[in-house]
Amino acid sequence: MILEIKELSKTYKTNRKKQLVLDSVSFHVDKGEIFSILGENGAGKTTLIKLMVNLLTPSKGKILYKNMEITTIGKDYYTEIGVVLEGNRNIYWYLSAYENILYFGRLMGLKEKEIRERGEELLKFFGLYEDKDKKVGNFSRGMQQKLSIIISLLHEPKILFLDEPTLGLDVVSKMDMIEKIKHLSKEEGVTVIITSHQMDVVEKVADRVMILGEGKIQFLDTVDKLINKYSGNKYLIRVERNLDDAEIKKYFDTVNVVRRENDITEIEVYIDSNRLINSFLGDMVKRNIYVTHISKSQDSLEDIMYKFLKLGSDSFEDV
Amino acid sequence: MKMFNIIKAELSKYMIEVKTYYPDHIVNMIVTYIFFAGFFLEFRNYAAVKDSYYIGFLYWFLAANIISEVSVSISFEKQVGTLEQLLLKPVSLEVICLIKTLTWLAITFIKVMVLFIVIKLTLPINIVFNIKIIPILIITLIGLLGFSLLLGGLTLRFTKTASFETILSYILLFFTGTIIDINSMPILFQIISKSLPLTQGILISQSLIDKQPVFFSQMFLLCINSFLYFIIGISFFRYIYNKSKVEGIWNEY
Repeated sequence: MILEIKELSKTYKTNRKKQLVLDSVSFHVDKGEIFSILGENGAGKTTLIKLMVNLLTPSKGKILYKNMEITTIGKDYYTEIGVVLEGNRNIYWYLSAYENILYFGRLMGLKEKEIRERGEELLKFFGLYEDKDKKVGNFSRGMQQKLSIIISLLHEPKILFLDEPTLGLDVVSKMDMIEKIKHLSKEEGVTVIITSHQMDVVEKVADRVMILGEGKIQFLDTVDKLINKYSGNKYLIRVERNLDDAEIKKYFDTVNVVRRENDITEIEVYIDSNRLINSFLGDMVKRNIYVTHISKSQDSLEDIMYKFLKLGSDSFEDV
Repeated sequence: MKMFNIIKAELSKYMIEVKTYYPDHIVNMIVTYIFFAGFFLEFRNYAAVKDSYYIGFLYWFLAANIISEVSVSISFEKQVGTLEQLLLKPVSLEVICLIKTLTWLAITFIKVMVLFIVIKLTLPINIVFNIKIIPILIITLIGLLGFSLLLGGLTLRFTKTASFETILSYILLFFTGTIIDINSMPILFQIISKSLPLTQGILISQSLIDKQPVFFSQMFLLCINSFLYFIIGISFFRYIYNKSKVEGIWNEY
């Protein structure tokens, strides 16, 4: 365990009203894992990140880094962590990539040789070496984001905090970023704490996922467990016969007829019990109807999150 | 090593800024030349004016620039979105701000010295200088740094404080003996004037240039005044910083 959050609460005072953003949240992050924080807008993801990097003071609770409270570690905590906050203004646009690296490296207290060597190594790793002397204002969003991550990695932090690192990136840049994040965690042992609205990103990178809602933890486990627990089973079945709706409804309540033409019927069914599928297939065989296709698929994390946030975890379990 | 690194970082960044926005700096130099030249030529016409007539103006010019520097820096970092990145470094924000201010002050001082030489070469005026005013200037500037931090704290909380700084710079111009003799002011204004961070430094420097005696009590008062302003400035900045960490207002601009 590298980071432990104990009974953490955060309340903001706005116009003499108190707004509880995080309510007694407790969890831990293991060394080397990619830990993802999910939730709707306003769920408290960014507040949680800012608390964990000591930019905000908690209203209640503790944050422990290697069993030491981060407030007692003081400014030295920043030699242990790297942070890229949401948005693309973590760097100076009127400086070149290399000038940004030199500036922030010096503020970190690194030696010139260290900054140059590590900077060049990271520029090459992120594919920005050829552009190192260009002004950052001329960079694409993806390049700016990569440079922000390079700067946050200069001092070889133990934990990297990334708030929406793939927001606004094109597909290629996004996939590239996913690979880089995975490499940092799996090959270099960096613990990554990431927030993202893009479920495909989370699905590809995260070891564990935590869903925040109404200031509390709604789910905390691996991505696989989230999918297995909340994904309904979806079957795609194709038969060589025109089946009418009444015939289909004898077996399935939730069904979607995808195609019905030229003696072929294709249906999508959502069921939790295999018994109904067996019963349907058995009857088809008895009636000499050819079943030419049957496949099973699961909901993507995006589908699950949509249902999760729309219905809430309790009602979702009843589905 | 850490301090040296930060000074190097700020100096390099400032030089790049100068290179990028050099037309602004050329305009600034020309405006300052006109400003200084007008001031010196005006006073040259009065026979009763002492050799030290210019020193108050020099102090005020440096002070007017220095007091707003921390708030200008914080305001700029908020605007471009990099303030939080500075907070996430293993050195405190007030140290970064002070080093930014000192770097900027050093460059302004060099610019002023160059201008003085140009003024002396191009205009028929006499500028008397005494090397002993350098330590007095440094002690005075320490107090002004505190004043600058105080305003920086306000910017951290309230974002836009530029108009407030303009008022302050005019208060310093009129109530520190820069252009009006303090002793000719009403008694209440004299008390206020002598408690401002600039006045003692100007009075001592004027005495040094005019070869008049400087008393220990004057020096003591200057040191106490500067020390107090510095401590109050740092304490206020810390207080606002900690309050902002509770309320979370870093990104508001």
